[in-house]
Amino acid sequence: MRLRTRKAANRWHAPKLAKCSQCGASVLGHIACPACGYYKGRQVLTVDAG
Amino acid sequence: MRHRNKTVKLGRTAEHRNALLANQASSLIEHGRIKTTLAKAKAVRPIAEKLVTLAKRGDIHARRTALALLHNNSTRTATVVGKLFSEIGPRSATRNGGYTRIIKLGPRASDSAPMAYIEWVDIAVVDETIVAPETKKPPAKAAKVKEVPAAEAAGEKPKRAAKAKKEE
Repeated sequence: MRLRTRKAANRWHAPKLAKCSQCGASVLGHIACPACGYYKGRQVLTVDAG
Repeated sequence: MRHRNKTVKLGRTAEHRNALLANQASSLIEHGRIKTTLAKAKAVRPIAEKLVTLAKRGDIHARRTALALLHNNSTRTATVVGKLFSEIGPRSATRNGGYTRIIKLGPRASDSAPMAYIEWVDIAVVDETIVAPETKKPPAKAAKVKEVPAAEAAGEKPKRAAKAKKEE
């Protein structure tokens, strides 16, 4: 019981997602939005169809 | 612990690593912004910043030191150092360090390596594909429509399927 309680803290957790301030898509934190290319209030890349 | 491990080795021998970093720094000067893995971007940054410091000094010794840092082995190096001293150095004259910016781009499709852009803070990236969306709303939308259709189409497919089911 004690062992399993302890091991439970080591389980896999899904990455926490934030909302893009520009387009509202779910994005990983601290990363330029892959949907619209915005990061910190400016366009940093163009999203290509690939 | 990372104590006293200052060099990012990147899984390469010293020769291979130095050649890589000189090449990446040259490319950064040539293009203003390069896309690479986060680890490489972080490894290039100190070299790029030292090059700018040399460029701001601007004397002949600084120029030769910069050439040496970039492995003066081709005409490319000469043009790169020329651009560094004539464009990038003067643009960053009022800035004390922090000449580069790294923007994280998330995992690469093939091997999930975290990718990043590294670019000069003081130099706008002269690239139509980048400039077009920055000119406010209408062009941004136009650019998006041009370039996102595949993603949108992929997003719409399930909806269409759902509509088809409703109609049935």
